Amino acid sequence: MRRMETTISTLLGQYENGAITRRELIRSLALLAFAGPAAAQSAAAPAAAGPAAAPAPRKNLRRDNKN
Amino acid sequence: MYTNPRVVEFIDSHFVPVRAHVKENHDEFQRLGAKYDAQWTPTALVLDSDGQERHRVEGFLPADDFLSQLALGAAKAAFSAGDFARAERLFDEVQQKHPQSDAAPEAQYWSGVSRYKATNDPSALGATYQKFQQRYKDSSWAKKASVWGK
Repeated sequence: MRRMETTISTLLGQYENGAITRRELIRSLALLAFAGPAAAQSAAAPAAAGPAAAPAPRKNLRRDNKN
Repeated sequence: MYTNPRVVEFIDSHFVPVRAHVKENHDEFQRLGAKYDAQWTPTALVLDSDGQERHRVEGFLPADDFLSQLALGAAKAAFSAGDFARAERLFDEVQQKHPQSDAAPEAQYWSGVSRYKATNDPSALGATYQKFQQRYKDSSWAKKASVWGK
């Protein structure tokens, strides 16, 4: 979570410096991205364990978001 | 993680990005994945400033579609915050910038709801019904709006 903490610190710094308003600070949204191996690496790999994954590997192929 | 410049720019300008990789950040993936019930990768969640999930994208999408979903998430967050004027504007932007996306008919629906919430004027819903007669009339959102035309 260091990256998020760093970003939040940056936002707080901007607020304290007057670069953004309190409204803009409160409005800040987070994008939480759960990622896996890149598509090329994972094409042949069994589906990995999400936290609530079943013990048996799933048979779907998994792709990372490459945008 | 994202390499498309437009995606990177949109995320940088709208969100605090947090990445949890199933292998590289295993502990965080386990903890946050359990908290937000992430069952698959990639999964992208738009969270508000209280950490409440406002939108979810599961699975890969091409850049244009992913951008439209991110924009939809930002609009939904504004709606959930009760900022209906801003939500309407953001929902309208989704339609204007991504008119062919799956997000566009949903945005058209919620734009109308946002206007109604902001004004208490039921004609906003009727106007949205009329819009669905012109655009996205075969979408599931047009069916949901159909009740507003009666």
